[in-house]
Amino acid sequence: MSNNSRRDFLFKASYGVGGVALSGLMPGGGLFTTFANAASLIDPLAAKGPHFPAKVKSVIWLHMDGAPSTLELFDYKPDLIKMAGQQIPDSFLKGLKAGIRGGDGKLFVTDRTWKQHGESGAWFSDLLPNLAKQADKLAFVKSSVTIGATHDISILKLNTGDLNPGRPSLGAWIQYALGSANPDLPAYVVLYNDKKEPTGGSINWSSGFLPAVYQGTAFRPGASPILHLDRPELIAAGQQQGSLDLLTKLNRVRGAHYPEDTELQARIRSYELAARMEVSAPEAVDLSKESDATKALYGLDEDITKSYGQTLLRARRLVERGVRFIQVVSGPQDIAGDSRNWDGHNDIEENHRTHSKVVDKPIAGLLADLESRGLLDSTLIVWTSEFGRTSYGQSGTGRDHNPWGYTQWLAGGGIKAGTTFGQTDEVGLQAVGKTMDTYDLHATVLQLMGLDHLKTTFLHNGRSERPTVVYGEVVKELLA
Amino acid sequence: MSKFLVSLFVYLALTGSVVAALTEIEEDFMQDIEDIQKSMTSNISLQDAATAKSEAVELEAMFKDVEEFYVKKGDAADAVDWSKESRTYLVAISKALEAKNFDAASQSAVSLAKTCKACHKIYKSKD
Repeated sequence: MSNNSRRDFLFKASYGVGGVALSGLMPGGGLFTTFANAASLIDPLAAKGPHFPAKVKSVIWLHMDGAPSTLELFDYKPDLIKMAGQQIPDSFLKGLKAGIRGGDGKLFVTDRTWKQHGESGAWFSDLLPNLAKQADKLAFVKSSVTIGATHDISILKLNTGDLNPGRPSLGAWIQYALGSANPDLPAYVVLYNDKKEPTGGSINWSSGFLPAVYQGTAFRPGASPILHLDRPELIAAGQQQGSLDLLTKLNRVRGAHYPEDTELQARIRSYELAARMEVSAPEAVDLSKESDATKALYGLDEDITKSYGQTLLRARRLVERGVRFIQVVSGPQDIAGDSRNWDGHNDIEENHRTHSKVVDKPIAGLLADLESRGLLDSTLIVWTSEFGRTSYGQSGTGRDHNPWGYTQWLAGGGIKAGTTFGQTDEVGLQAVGKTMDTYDLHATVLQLMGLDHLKTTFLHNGRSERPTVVYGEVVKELLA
Repeated sequence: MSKFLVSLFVYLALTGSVVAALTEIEEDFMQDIEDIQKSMTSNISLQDAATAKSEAVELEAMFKDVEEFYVKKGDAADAVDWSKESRTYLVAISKALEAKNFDAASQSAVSLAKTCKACHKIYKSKD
């Protein structure tokens, strides 16, 4: 293989000529028809224009790991309370397959009090007193549906739209389509507040069949967010700079002989980005200059909210620095068994008391902080989970998985705040009427970022692929 | 006695053929539909009107078979309606492709996929 053809092969494998080739075929000028193409050949993260004016610049994707019961949080069901202790009538089970219905316990409630809040009159349980004060900023989707399976599989669908690994996550599609707004930071960052990676792992921020450069970058908790980014202890700053300068010089000499070699140019840029990130990434997550009032707003002054609050404060700082997609996974607490996250198969009362307390103040603080800084109008916040939980009980004190009807919410730019889309049946088990599947949520998020999900495409194995597979409808009722 | 045996044989043969048809539709036929549908969606995106249209026509004929199957099966009025709806979307796709209106074809393809999903919720044994 000649030098040229080898480099050509590497370039195609690494930087996805498929997308570039396809882009030329996009109708109506398409996403990449302008020679932003040339820029993306040299720098795949170069900023690219949207299909139409975007409503928001950044997305904060709040994944509640383990699947909360929204029957305990937002979906007030007086009939469920009245019918608690009875066997669920067959009429509510129509269309549900027995094999995936889980434990068929009796209708079940926990000890909740419910109130309406704000001008919108949205219902909140006593578990979310702080978020309830932000009621009028939220647009609820009470008819969310998905495919229910294990957590890992449904989390994968939540993030990539498929039940099998291999497809790009939503953040990767956005980074591919829009590039980076900040040359010193990745455009797609994943945050978590646990000691280990979140459930399901990195396939949930994978670039799938898109070039690897578009995958999410996981920022670990702590002062050093990226593994191996810090300068090794025994190498002085001057030594490292000298090495990098020599490397750049050699690469440029080589590049002068092969000016068409975009793979080498991209590599030079990636070295430069890594060097800049040594400074920019720790600075982006350094909370030392935040005021005490801001820290308190996110709950950094209380043990139970400190960890998640720090994560959300980092998310706000990344928004300020132009990061386009911030995927935040709620971290397990130091509790054994199911209660490590929201997965309340047993003792859901204690589980949800703990996890609500962990996220309530920080999320409310995030919304208030974004608003006070004038960032709420240009940021989209999505509160989401892999599925909900059943109206009937399991093991006497918990609830099983429910992919047939549960609540998620959105807030921020372009969102019709204070509204509710869809509903579940009288006991909160199945969505009735219009529903929102994962694909519809993805299409709506892309729309707010200025992207038509039908035209955000990439040629993979000869087939034009898009974020919403063959599905997806923008939920127009959610848009202002 | 022989009349009874003949009747039993005819009954079993008929029952057997229905079961065989059901198995074929679930395991192979519907998979073919899904594959062609994905290919058609891709070809609409790639603006290959000719290939996409031929796939739409093929799918429309396949959904006619699905519709007939559920009519014969009985007690499946919703499935019959979804099959008819799918055929309507496929006709709309063909017309949009003839007019080179790829946006309209894409929208109809999404509606078709949504109809498939609604039907699968009730009639597909595994999702």
